[in-house]
Amino acid sequence: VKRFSDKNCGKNKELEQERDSEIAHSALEHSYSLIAFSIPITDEQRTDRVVAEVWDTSYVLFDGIPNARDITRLKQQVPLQEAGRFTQSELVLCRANRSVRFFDMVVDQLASGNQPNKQQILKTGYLLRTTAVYGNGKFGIADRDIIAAREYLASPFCAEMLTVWLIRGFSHDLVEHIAYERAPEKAVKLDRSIKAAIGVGNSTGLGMAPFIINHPLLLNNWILAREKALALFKTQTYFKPTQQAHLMPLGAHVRAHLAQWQVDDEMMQKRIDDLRLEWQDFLPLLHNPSLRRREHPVAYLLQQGATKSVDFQELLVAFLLELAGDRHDDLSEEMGAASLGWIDVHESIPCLKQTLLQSYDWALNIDFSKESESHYFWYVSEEKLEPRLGIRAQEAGAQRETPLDIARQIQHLFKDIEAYGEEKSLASFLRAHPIHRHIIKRVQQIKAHPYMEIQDNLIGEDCFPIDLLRLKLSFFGASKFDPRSDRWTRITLFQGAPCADELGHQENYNVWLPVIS
Amino acid sequence: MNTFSSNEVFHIAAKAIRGAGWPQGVAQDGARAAVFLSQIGFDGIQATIAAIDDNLSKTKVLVEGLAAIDCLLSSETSPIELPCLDQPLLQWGLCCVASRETGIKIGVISQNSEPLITREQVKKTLLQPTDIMLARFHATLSTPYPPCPHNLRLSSLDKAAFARAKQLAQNTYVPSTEASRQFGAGSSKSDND
Repeated sequence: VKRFSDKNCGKNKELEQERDSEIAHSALEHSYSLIAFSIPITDEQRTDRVVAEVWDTSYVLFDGIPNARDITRLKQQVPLQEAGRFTQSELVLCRANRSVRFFDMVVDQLASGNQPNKQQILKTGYLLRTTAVYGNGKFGIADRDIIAAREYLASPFCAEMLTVWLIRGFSHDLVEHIAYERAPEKAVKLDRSIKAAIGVGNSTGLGMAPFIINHPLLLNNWILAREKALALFKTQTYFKPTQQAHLMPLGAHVRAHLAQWQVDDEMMQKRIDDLRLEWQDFLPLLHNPSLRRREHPVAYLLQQGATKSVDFQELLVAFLLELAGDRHDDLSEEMGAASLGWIDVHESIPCLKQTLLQSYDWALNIDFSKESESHYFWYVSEEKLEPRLGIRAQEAGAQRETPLDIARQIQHLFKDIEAYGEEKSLASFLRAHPIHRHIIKRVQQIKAHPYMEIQDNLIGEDCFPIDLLRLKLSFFGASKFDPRSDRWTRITLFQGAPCADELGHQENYNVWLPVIS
Repeated sequence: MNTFSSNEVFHIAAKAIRGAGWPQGVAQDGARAAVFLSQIGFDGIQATIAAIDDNLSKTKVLVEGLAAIDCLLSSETSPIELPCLDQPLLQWGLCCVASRETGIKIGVISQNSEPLITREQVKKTLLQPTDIMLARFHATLSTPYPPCPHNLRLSSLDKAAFARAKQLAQNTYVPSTEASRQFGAGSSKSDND
């Protein structure tokens, strides 16, 4: 959004109405179009899971401006989602369900000439909730290579996030459209401040976890960008005047955001409550005038937060990066990554063993003789290929396990290496043990990519998959995590972000940890 | 006309190889070769299935073929013979991918010891059962594989091979039960908030 705003990209919106509420949006000067379809479904049909077969709304991000033939084709295919077939002209495929209570309430209020209640926005925060956003060649859409060198869309997931941001605008238009159709004489449009407060929801399940494990270099580059930004900020001797001026308002902003973050999940709410208290305790430090004169204030603040909860420490890092301003924004250009590549057969067996001992001690120290350490198995269900987690001792299918058990694979590799002659070549080891081909590739990358592994046992009884989902979603600017179980979460995106017609007109958006005022 | 993205080719091929019983690392290398073949106009899925279902020859692309490439990449300088492959196209694709990613020039050579590099050479030689020789090429050879445009998609698909790939992929999926449907994904089946 910052990039679009800096370039002052406009949005040309064309609204076409048909009996079944078909609306087409066009956006940005390179001409990407969001093609949206909205259909009525029953409450019983509405599920956010992959097993769903119908959705309230469905979308593609189209490369260019579609012609009538494209629209006809897409009208048949897009509502089918995974069951449809797509072409290289489509960059992203997506669907979203309504937040039933909030959507209907907003329509009712607009139709009766009133604005929605902000308290209700606080509770839900979105009209539509995306349930899958597919990019990179899925179901025949364009491969990522097609857009990888394009301005705006080059960074990972930019096309997907553009789609979600456009859907947010579509959700505003959709409620206004329905309200107008219901009461053309009385209906009003959403106030700008209400629009700003309404983001777009997202429902995320286990599918995101395998992605993180299967894209280790990407994960490394994401974390590395964050670590680099923090390290660079730490080297700054004093806070700059603008940073000093932002310290207190930004600290208060965080407090206000935390106060508005309410969830149903008891464990998560307890963590949020604790975080509120910790942040409240920390605020006087930001207010202290001596901080302005202190050398290396970032290192000092991190040190002061080091004894607090992990949630607090992560929040503090995010706060500091926000305080740093846009000086490290260019690091986002380094966040893309290639695949693991071909195995380096020149590496010696002793060298590989040494890497295992140095970098995978966390995996080698897990006691897999305990049943609890192999408690779960990950699998893909034949029902719409939904990723699921099963209990090994109770459910069938472990023989078809998805290989996300990195720690256990590391231990098997180590055992086989120890039993193999150290003087022999890696090529001969691979010939004898082709099962280790993948894990060796990973091990060979670890020295150059220190953040590529989730250092946890993903099949252990203590595995908490939602942490993996939160990790990935946090890089999309997600806020207000709202867990629905240990493996499913809802979030809100783009709350407080500018709408398309506001791009370039505003400098300080309320995007980071949005606060509804 | 349906066309297939490279990502789809990768996943179809990788799942087919895994479904046929090969490990993940082998499946991924094989699938990357299938993508490469598709991007230069061959049917990468068909080549993958031919390699998987090659029950006639004594050598297997995904076993001896990969091992031969690893040998050439490490230290082996003499050509390695792979006798009687049912269809060596995937083997050639694997050599191209390995060569591209490591910078070490290896590939398939013809009976008169010439590198097979162009699509036309390969089409003429490697689409039928044959013995092949893998070799490390001289460093002066410019590029031992043809250029690979990213926007060319697999369009001409062998239906039988595609069906076979789907059938093999089934071996990587777990049938649903009521319990897995209910709890396996972590969310309820109805979402009305």
